[in-house]
Amino acid sequence: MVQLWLSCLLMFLVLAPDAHAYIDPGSGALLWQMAVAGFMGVLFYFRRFFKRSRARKENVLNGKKSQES
Amino acid sequence: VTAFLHSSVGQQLIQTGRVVGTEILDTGQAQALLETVQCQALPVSLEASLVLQHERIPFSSFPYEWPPEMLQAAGMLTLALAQTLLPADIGLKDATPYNVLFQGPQPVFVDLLSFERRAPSDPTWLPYAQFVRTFLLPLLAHQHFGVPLHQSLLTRRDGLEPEEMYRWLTPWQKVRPPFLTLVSMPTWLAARHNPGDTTLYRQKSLQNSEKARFIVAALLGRLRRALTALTPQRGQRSVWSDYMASQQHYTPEQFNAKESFVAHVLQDFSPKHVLDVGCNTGYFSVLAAQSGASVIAIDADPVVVGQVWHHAYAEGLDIQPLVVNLTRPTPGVGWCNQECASFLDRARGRFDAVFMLAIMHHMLVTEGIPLSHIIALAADLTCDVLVMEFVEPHDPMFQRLTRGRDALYRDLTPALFESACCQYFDIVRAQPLQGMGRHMYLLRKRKV
Repeated sequence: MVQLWLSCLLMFLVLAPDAHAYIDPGSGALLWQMAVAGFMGVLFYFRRFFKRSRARKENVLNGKKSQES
Repeated sequence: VTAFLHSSVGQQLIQTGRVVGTEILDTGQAQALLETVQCQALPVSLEASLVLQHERIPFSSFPYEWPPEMLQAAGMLTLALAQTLLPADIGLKDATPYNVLFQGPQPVFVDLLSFERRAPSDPTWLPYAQFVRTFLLPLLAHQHFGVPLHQSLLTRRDGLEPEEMYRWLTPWQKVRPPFLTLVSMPTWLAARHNPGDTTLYRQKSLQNSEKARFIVAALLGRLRRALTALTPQRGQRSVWSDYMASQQHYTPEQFNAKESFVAHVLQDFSPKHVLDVGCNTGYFSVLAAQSGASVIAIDADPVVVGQVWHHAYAEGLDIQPLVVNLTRPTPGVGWCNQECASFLDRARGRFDAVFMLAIMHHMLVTEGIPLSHIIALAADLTCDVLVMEFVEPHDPMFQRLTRGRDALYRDLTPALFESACCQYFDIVRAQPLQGMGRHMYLLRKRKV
């Protein structure tokens, strides 16, 4: 997996076109920010899923405890 | 701005001193303010919908005069504000070190116009690129390539472009953190982006505001970690960092005599504003701050200035240390050289005491400044007192600088120094440091 990731990066590096003209400042950083935001968006749903399942588990355990007492 | 000022979190930030003290003026107060001499030149009319009065920051300094420690502290403050204001849906329009000034060693956010309402559904932090250019990349260039901050920031208003730093990197550096995410990725993506396509800059909106806030909070957290990783190493050494610790050229008695001379001046004159020129590790700046003075401590060596900032910050001392070489002081910068005033324009007549302790021989020999010009500049800077340590040419430290050119300075005697001073100052006290070619002088500026 790591090798695949590194190879992709290397390809990206080798194939990156040279910019000879005007580069609008910040577009690259904004694009990168959007890529990171996409990853964070996925993480958000994972986090919510785990939070909910943990809450459900705790509810079940609390229910069992109250039944026993 | 009003959203910020009326929010409880905004008021809290002002009360804790992280944002500059601000007062909304009513029509009567605004009219009175606008009639004052200082405000007459301002392009403000009474039709202005909002007139604000700020607490005055005693001495303004700019990012190219800060050691890396201060730039990092300013960056941390910027991120802390963005994070604190995020739940209140208030954002920052920009993220540049010019939004921050220092009050003593404490960073204070001063650009209230930077605060704006942000759409809760927006998953982007628009000042991201500017934060990277003006805080992270100059610190990264300093940490990895030894590029001083003034080189990155003095002639570049908006910091370092990723494309510029990309050219400095080896192929291995390009694909490893932190360069990969801060430099290489933005460079590669910018090269592939069609510059004519402006849709990129349109505001983004998600249906789920909670998700948008989570993304921005995570992004700010990443920036905070990147900034923390650029913390300047403590205990760095430079040519001057061990000067006070070694003190090979003073015996304990000689140093005590020097310290007691300065302490007496502080006791007798109780100066409110002190400029310590060539402060080194800030020993005498601390002495002045402990006596109640507000101190600007300058030195050309960023390592020692960083140490002074750490000490002042940790001890809560009113010292603002700056990387300034008085013989090559910061020029006026920006449009018509007037956007950011030169160091001398900000410093002239601002101080009631100026310390020039064992610095004059560096100015004379290393920088080749004539004695009369040094005294004239000192008279320009102080309103009242000048404390000078005069070093004679036979002193070993003087000789280390002359490197065999002793003949050039053979006429430099205490008598010559005193006669040069007499043009601007009265000599109140003179005390030789026994057993060495050094003399302490207390001089008072003659009132014209």
